[in-house]
Amino acid sequence: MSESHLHLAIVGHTNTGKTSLVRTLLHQAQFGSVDDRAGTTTRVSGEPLYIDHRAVMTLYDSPGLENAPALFDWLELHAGSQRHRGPARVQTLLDDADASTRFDQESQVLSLVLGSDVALYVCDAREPVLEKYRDELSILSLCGRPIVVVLNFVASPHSQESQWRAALAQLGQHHIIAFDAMVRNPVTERRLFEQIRSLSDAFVPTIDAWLRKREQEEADRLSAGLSAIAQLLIDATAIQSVIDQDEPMDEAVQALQDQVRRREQLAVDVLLDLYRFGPQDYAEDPLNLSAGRWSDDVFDPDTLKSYGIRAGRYIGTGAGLGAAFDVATGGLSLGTGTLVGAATGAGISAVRQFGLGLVDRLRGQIRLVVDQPTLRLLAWRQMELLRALRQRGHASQTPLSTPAQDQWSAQALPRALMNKRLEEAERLVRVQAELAQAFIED
Amino acid sequence: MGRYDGKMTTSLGVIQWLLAEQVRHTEQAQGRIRDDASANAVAKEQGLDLAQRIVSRAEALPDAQFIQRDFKHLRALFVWFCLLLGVVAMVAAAGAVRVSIDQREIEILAVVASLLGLPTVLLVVWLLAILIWRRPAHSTLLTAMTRGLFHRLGPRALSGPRPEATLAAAMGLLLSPSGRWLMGLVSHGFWLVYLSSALLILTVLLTVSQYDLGWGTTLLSDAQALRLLAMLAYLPEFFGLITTDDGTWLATGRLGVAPELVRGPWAQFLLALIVVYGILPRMLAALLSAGMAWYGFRHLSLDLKHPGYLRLSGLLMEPKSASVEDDAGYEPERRSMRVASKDASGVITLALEVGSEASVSPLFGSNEAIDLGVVETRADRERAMQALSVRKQPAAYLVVQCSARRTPDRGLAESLNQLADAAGGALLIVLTDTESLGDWGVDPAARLADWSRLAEQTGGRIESLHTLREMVGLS
Repeated sequence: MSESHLHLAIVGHTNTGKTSLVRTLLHQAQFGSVDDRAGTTTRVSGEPLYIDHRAVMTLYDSPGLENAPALFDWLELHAGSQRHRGPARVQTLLDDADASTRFDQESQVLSLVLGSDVALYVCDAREPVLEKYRDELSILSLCGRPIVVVLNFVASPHSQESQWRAALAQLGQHHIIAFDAMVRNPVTERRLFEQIRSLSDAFVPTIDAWLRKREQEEADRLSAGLSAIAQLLIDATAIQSVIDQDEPMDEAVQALQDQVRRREQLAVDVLLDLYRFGPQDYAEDPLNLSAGRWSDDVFDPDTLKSYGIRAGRYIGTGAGLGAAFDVATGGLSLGTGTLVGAATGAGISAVRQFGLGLVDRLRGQIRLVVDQPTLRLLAWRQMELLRALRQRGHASQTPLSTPAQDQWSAQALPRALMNKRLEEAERLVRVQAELAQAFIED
Repeated sequence: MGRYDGKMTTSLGVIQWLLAEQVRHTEQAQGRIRDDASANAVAKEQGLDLAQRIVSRAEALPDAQFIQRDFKHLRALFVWFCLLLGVVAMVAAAGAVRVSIDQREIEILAVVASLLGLPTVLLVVWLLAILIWRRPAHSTLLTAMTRGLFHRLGPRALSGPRPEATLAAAMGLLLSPSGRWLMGLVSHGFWLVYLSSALLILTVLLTVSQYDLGWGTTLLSDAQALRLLAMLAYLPEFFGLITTDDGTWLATGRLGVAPELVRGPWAQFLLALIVVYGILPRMLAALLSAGMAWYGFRHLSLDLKHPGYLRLSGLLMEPKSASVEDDAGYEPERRSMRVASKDASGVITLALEVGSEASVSPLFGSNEAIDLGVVETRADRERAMQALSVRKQPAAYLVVQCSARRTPDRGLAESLNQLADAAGGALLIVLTDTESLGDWGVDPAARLADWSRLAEQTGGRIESLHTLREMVGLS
């Protein structure tokens, strides 16, 4: 069966989150304008969805229905002999110049629904089921198009989902889906399209193709996110500086810390870009991301503590890291790369480093590297961010938040990270694979 | 709304590919180039797929032409490097020939072994790698030499910004499958020059000097050595380079037997062996590599799943047609403030669209006001209108309780207008649930602004319960 172009109208009362739903379905945070105000959208606008450059579907955002009771009365009054011919009654309204002006927004919406294949009626589940909402659904039903009711804001403690479901059943609406437009959840998105699919056989191939594409995109995004984190960790292990034993360390430590901070920020930027969020989407919250930057300094010991990573537990591993560097120097340092101090400044380990030449070996140098707890913190924070981004709606205007999860922080760093003998590309692939494992097990 | 009707895949030029990679390397090391807004806008107008837009963006970024110039410099550097390799090959060939025929008596098998031995072994290894991995193994030595050259001379040759990213992109190209074929071509080219030079020098030497050619063996019996020679002679004869129809020809070649009889044919035989077992296979391998490299460079594609590229998809693939925001266009009409007429008296209260009875608190005692209850449905509105229409004199105040949780809409405005018209007096709106708006999940300031707008449309005013009680008490 070939894929037919599906025209999908998103309709509903004013300020119920229609544009948010379009954004979430498009995965485009820039679509339209979202505001906690009535009548933010005043004109119908459509956006095509593509598979391999073929537009297979068009999503239409529409202005809110604001005056359904009066419109309902008008339609009742002008029903005449066409009482049971819904689309004809709607057409009468659209043909009537006065009525079209009085019910400007409603006319736009009805005209849109008449020309669409399926309508998604978005309602705010926090609202009581007022008569005006019932009027809206009755009017929309006149268009003779399949309707899926999208219950938005079901995650709110004020949600009245069960009352809505009961009322919708009375109105003959049985295709209902709870879809929080603020929470980007691939599973619910899939269910929504499955509902639409169940309403029209003609669009089964279209929707199946679309769902496959979405799944692939989601997998690609996750994989790219993990790759970015893996690259961060690899780069962080490569950040080092070699200084003479009697040289003061403070300046070098400071410079190293700055390098790590900059590198971490690059990773955060990539993750935000991947999930299409701008820095303005963040505020102070448990993830401590503000204006796209971590508020907690990665080298502040309190940050380690707040993420459940205890620096003391890992003192021994710094020496392990030194040993790894010995291997990297081809054993020429003869296993003498040992930890000089547990921490020279928070997050930086000093490893006594002997140069390759005999003179250097005798003179002795100190190599400063990023210590393990800091690497773990870097990994942990980015993984948390990735997790939060995957769950977040593109329309969400409240800050990100995820509960601290201790089990991940208890896991070890990817083993391939310290294996400096691997070819760079191979090392990246292996670290990414280990991170993916940790991500799924979480 | 536009439809994509472009080609499915975009083939990129080598310089375009390199430029995109250079930008990716730069952004990986330094973060996204933030003054890229105009480049992004240009890119969004170009083509229809992400790869094409990424390239257009890279081309539109500032400094793009300097970076492109750098890549051309690197290409020139690489060409010079190849020429230098050619010279080295010629010198090496001269040396090898000189060493292998330093006496008047030439043992043909020994010369062939010394000239063809190493190149043949390397060619076999190269072929095995292709058979096993289905792609050429990258020549470690050649790659290391190129890397060393780029890193030593590159910074001097490059004048554009971020030379390290430029070099990383160039090395990335050389390590890509197409790049490996190209390196294969360079390597085969080296050996071709080596063998051709050897052939040329040998031809010249054999033309102008007299050598006694033949074969000898220490370990093998003469019969075995003859079989080996016969095998070696098969292909040159097949190609018509030599003729061996006289069976004694090979046997006479035994060193010291009758050198003067076989000098000419044996010199030809030696040259033919170099052509057939040295030059010909190399030429085939070089042609294969050239073909594969040419095809690969014609079909270069960016790894769009790389985070550095995928991150741009949101930016470059976002819808062109943002929905038309036309807030200014819709300006609801305002009414002048409703005031009570002189003959008006009494207070009428009602609750409009508050959701449920439970959320309504009586504002006044029953002797102070007439309460019309909750108005939500059509029937409620008719009942309220009925109650208002039977009154003989207008009310001084119509006090309407509304929940700030509702989004004010035109339907609500219409109901308020109808009720206030029927009541006749001033319209006072009392908002409940204002305290819990934040908890409800809406922005309190925006919501209250919407209610103020509604009050303006209906000629009413929003009052707090406290002010209201004072006001009504005074009346």
